[in-house]
Amino acid sequence: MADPSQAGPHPAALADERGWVERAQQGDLVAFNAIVERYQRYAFNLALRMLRDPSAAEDATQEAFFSACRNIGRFKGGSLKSWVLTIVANRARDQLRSPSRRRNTSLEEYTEGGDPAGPWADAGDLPEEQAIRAETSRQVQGAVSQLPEDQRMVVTLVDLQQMDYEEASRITDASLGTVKSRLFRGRQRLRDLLRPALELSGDLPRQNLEGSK
Amino acid sequence: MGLFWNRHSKYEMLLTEHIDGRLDEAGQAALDRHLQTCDSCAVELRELEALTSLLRSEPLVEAPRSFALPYAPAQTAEEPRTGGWLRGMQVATATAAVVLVALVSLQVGDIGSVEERSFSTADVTNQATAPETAGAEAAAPEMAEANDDSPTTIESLPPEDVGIPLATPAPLGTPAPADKTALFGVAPPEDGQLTLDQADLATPALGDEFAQFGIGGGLEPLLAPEPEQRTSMDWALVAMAIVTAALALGVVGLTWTSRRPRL
Repeated sequence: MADPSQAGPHPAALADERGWVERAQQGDLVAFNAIVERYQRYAFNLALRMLRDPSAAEDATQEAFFSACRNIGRFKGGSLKSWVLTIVANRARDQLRSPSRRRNTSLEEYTEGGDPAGPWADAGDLPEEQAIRAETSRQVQGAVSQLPEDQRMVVTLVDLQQMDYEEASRITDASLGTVKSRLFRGRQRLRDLLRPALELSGDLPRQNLEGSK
Repeated sequence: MGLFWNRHSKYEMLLTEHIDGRLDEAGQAALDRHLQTCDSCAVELRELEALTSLLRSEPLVEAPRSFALPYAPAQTAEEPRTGGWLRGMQVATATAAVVLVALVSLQVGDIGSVEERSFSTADVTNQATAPETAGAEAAAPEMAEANDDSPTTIESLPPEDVGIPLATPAPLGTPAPADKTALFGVAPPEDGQLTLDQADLATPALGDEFAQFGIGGGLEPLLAPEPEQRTSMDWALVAMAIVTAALALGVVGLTWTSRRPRL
């Protein structure tokens, strides 16, 4: 079930946000950068899932925030997070369709490189827990990256970033029905890809040879 | 797998909405009833719930660096305020279109009445020529009656009488052709008591006779479109069509120029 706490920003945060937007619309860079700090993690994650290339994701995220700053005067209310992520999705799509696009580092290399526990490690975990978490995360990220682009985007928004259908619909520029359909197909594919991990974690009973599928 | 899709695809949306807590009461009741009898959907639901639980426990990747802007780029100007103009143009276009449709409706009704009038004029004319064929009708009244309704009356009627019922409809918006001038655009000779018979229709000579009326030979002139006489209704229709088209073009242009650019 969706976590109600993820439904949207706290009212106080929303009030802050409105203030930042108003000040940013008047050219206040500090206020705009407060917006950047709040949403850059979501923006980078969406770009990373879409592009599967950390360097390209960085570029797309940075370009998206520049574009958002240039166009902040056009923001007329509603969800600022959705608005920012729509711009990120557009930039990532532009990069995907760019003929000069080249892959530098794969997502898998990114998650495996550097910190052995990967970028998803929680600093408070024990080494064993970190290793298990990192391995599960690696499998999840690898499976998500195998989804077709449209399913990957919806799964990223709804399941990884806990956005609702309406926000996902706006960001992907698809109807609600299409969002739900892509979500269902993407989840089915992920379930098949992650079956070993789910069985290991005990979330799924081990499948017998004459399984239902 | 294929069979599963065929039988259960209608529950995809219900399963998805249930997992995301978006299912309404009626949908939930329908899904619950289905799950009581369908093991494969029940298994599907359990597996997808486990998967979403795993996905939602995944922390987001930390941003590798701050994306705060080092300087403020120039802001794009506010969108042009074309909303009021656009709305006004849309209302005007809709109004013009309604007026145009109303005018066309009136015109169509007018054509219907013109046709009715032209047929009644033909009947009257046929009755007026009755004395000429009275002998034949007396001999075979049922034949004569049939002739009144049949194009074969062309054999015994002057061309203007034949032309009205046969070569109508009259031009749009014009009254029923009551005389030769209205029908042919040129007055026929005063002595134009032309009598058509089958032989005349077949001979090129008839074409010459029609040539006197400024039209081609044979039967084609009777069937050809006649010179139109524009009425005020015609001009109103043309004017409204032009106005509507111009307004529609304006709406398209304004919509194009004021469309929201992609961010």
